[in-house]
Amino acid sequence: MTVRRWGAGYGLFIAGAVLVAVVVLLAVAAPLISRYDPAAQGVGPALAGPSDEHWLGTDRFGRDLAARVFHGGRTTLLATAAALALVVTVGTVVGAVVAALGSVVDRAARHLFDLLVAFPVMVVALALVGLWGPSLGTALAGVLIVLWAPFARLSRSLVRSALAEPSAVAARALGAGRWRLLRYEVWPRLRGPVLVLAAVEAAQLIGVVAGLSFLGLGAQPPSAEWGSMLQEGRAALWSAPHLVLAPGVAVLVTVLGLTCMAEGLRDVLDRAGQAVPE
Amino acid sequence: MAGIRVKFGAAAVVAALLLAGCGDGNDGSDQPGSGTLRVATSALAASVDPMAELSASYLRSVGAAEGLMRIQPDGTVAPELAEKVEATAPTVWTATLRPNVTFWKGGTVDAKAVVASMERARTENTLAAGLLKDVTVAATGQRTVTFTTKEPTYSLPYALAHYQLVIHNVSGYPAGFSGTDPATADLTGPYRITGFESDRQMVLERNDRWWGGTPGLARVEVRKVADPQARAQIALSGQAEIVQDLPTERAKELEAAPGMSLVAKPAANTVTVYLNPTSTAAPALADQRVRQALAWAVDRQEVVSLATSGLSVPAPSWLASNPAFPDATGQGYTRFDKVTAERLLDEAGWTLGADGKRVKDGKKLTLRLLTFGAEAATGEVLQAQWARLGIDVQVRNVESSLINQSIEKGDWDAVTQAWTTLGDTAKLIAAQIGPGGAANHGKYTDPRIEGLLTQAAGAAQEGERTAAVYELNKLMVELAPSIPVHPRVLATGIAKEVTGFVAHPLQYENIVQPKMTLG
Repeated sequence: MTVRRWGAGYGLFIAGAVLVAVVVLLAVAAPLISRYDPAAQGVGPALAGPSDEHWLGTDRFGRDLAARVFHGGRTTLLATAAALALVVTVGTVVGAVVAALGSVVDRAARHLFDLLVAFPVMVVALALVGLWGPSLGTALAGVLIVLWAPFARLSRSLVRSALAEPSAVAARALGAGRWRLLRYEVWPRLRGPVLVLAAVEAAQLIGVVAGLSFLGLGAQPPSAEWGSMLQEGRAALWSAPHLVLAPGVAVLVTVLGLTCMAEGLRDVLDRAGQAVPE
Repeated sequence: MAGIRVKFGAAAVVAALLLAGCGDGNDGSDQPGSGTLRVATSALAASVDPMAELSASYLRSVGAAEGLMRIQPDGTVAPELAEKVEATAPTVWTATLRPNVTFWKGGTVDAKAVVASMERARTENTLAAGLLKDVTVAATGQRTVTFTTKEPTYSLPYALAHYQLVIHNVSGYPAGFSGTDPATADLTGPYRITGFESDRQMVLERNDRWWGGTPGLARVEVRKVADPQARAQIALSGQAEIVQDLPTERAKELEAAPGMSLVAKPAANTVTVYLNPTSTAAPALADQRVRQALAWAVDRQEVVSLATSGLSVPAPSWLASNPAFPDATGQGYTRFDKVTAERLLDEAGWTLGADGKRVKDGKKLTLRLLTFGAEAATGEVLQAQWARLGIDVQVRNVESSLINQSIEKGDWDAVTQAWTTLGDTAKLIAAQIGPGGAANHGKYTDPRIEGLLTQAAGAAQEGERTAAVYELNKLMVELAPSIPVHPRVLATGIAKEVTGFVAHPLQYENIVQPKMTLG
């Protein structure tokens, strides 16, 4: 498959992947490139602007903002990646099993998926935080309760249509086993759309994680997290805008990268004639 | 001369009427009793009935309520509606009322009205009932009220200065009164309420019948702005002449703003970390040495600098925020002493592990700290300071109701609160460490407490009472039921054209003051 055949979507995907790769790289290398402990107070004057010593300035507690943005990326990205891995796996497997079982189970599951998809992720996360108290773990548990459902719905639908394809019917008639059908008939039709949805949901998850921390319901002090840093910086928006700009740009770049990846991938798959999630 | 005075008065009234109708703009003038003062506050009265919950202190804060006595900025108590209050027998205090004091609607504030007000307060409000417990109030003359106590009580004038005992015209508050109709409210004070929306906004106009002369302003408009950042913007943009409870993290910006001054006053409320000795999650707190170590390890100067932008001062002991007890600043944790803290922890068996964490019997020294509102910043600095000692602290900033719930359930390790230190000191300390004290969350006891509390409340000589108060303050340091950190900050934005504002360590005396004018 050539770049020309993949069209503009490929370029968009690559651009997004580069942005995400840069963010991930900075987050992974945070302990190596940060000059200071992100939680250490008084390493510089309070609310100082960017300088040679403190590349992105310092916050009200005299903490190094660059260290906090890089380490904050680790918190946000790790939490998002872990949550995403879980919802993709659980959702895809449950959807596939339900589609394979068919009949009554399939109908009941379809209603359950529809019901869960209708729940706003943020509301469920807020409810759990209200019950168990604020923490990033609790907030993510709320996300997990709801966010596996879109993957299950997509997976169920794709597995059903894949199994109804003439090639799958023929393979089954020729005695192909369940694993063979999954490997050669279902998986090739499933992976692309699931990847697109994963990229879309990853961008949403970043927003949810940062949003909950912004509200004080996610990451707790002294953890560096982009959302909580935005909240802390809001107080000095006019006098020390670097407090908001640094984590704000980090969130923007990450979400933009993931969205570009999702859109690019969707375009590529669409051109390849594969079903893609809206 | 009289003619000139009449003309001047008429001109002032006309000017005031004109200015009052000029809408939102600052229509101040340098004449007394004129101009509209716009105030933005973090909270507002829920009702125009001072005996309703969350109302009396807010009414008092805007010049719409007065008591027999008033606490001065230096912490002493002085007569307000009373001309004088004196002890006429060991258990009897006699208050002589000022002559010619009237309620807003013209009714005379005489002894009978005061007794009726006190009795309604006792019946309608639990806080007032506590202040008047074992006190009999009687009218013994047209302007004389006697307060008879069971035991000799030297602090009664402070109780009479409490906001919950403001004098109101009982007939103005019939049964079934809605609490929100300003037309039926009848109190005293330089300003009377003419417009009211519960917990949202309030309009007050000059009370021409006020006993203290002509109040400095024609009209006061008070608006609740809950978000501290929004209040800061209001102060910076000049949308209000007085903005209360400004966020300290914006101190530099506010100090540099033209057209306003940032007046920061340490409040008579010590931000204190209360410790639970019966916590199952942090059993180390049962050990007095651990609690003392935590207190010694607090670098209060750094806390003040980072968490309050230097607007507060260190409080080495709980009473240190009370201006009436200046020696309390020399008691307690007067220095940051990490060495002593480490020694105490070592003695208690909490030794430093290779990972820099304190461990005992294989368990790490950890605790959960709940903070509320602006104290979140204090909590974060304490977390970092205690981490340097090898203690893991989990900080959560929550609503105050959640802190109260956690305390009630017993599911807490440490919480920040800032109880007032100014008033009836013996009672306030009893609340901290006395049996059943409202702030004795950890139910601390010590055989010395009761005797000292009795002496602080009832010793015949003032010197003996003061000595007992200082001794109790020292005892609080020794027992370490809580860790004093710094006084809460009253950060108020005052427009340059406002004159006559005197910073006061009590929040409810720190907004609209009678002699304030717009120049």
